[in-house]
Amino acid sequence: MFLEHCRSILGLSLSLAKVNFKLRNEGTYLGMLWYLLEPLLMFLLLLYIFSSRMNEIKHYPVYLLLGLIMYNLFSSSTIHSARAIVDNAAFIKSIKMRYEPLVLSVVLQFIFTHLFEIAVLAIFMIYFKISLVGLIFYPVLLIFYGIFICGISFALAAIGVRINDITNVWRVLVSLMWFATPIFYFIKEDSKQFLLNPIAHFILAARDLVITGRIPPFWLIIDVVILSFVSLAVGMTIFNLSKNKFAEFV
Amino acid sequence: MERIIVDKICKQFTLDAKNNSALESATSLLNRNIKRRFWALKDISFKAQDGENIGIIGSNGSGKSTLLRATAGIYTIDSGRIGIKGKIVYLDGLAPGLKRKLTVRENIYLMGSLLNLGHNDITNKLNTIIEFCGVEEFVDTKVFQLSSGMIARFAFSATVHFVKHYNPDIILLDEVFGAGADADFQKKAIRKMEELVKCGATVLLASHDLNLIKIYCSRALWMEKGEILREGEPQGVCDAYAALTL
Repeated sequence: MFLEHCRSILGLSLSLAKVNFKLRNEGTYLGMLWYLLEPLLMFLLLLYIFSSRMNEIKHYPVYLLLGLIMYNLFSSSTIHSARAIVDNAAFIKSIKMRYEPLVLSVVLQFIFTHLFEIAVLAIFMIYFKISLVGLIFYPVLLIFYGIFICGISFALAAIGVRINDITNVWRVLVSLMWFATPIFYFIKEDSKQFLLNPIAHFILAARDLVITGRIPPFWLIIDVVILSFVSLAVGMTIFNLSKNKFAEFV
Repeated sequence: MERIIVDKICKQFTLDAKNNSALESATSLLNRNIKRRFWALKDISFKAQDGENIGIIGSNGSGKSTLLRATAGIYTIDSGRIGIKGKIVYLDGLAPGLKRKLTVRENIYLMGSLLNLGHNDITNKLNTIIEFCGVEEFVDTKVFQLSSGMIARFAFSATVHFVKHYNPDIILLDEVFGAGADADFQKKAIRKMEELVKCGATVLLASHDLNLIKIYCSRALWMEKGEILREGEPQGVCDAYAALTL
């Protein structure tokens, strides 16, 4: 019963994610290519601006690209999730359905995009002669990162039903967090900036795994697991407490 | 067997509950008494037996859709009790979630998924749906390129076939008979709807089309201002409604 319930939610989430993924760049001249061009252009720009760091940080282009695409996954998923319920008012009012797939589909849609970006990352790794072994284990970390993002997305989607401008507020917060996250610079693991920024934990673990090819330290693995499940528990609680009223407020 | 038991339910809405900005949210916290509340459903009670078709009529804003949504569990109720036995499907209009930039085929898969059908079930139904609505040559055409009549055809066909496949015990229909296609297809559509309505499921049908209520329903409820004004045999209830409103 529980498994069937999960399968049904996942099935609808995947269908909606595929549709959103297809429609996002529908009608543009470059179509699917935009999924690669957007992060690549940003990456090249940052690489040009911070070219001096090439000598300070080992494999800086891969270091930068991995941080950038991981942060993109977080920012795009959470910003779009804030309107996941509101933008699907037509579904919610006209059929009896579960609301979770509306949020999960947004996260899945950006995970699809992330997979394209990972393919580009792999090309860079080959170019810079970095072993791809670590990248094979990256999906394990991605699952926990996905769970963490889902938690925040559920909370934002629920709040977005009551307060429309949560999207704008969150967009500003995400921009600020971008600078507070070690995407284009390096910070020490014991700094306050690192400890207070949950995304930094995931990015650091990913860099350990993908670039240096070693298993992240035990404390970091524990951090990642705890952050994922705490985020999901908090997000789902907020979502479940308010979902009964969604149809009345959209 | 009683499939639906609605016992003294009440539902209240706060009309200005939707705050559009953080500023409005903050000010509404300080001015709570300015919110207007109204009762959309007041002390509604009725029962529906297995296989019974009940028509719900009433003017706009009388509470028909709210009653169906509350029965389906889409809206919460403030007091009373709703008992449901069996699988339930609620439809408000045709083509839930139609995406105009997708093809007919892609939309059929999306609609099927929304109505809780698996990928294989949708694939098995695909040809029947396409054949029924007669848009075979446009199956891979994007919906915005079709005429509104064609859209109405395939939306009707997909919805009805999927609902039939789901084999519900209770069907709640909110104005879904208006097919909007040509006369030939309208006849076909009505026959198909008859199959759905007479398949043995309990049907609650909210409509402004009094003829539909008289043809398909064994009982009618006339609602006004959230209350049941009259209940009984469809001919009498519809005539009384028509005499007062038309």
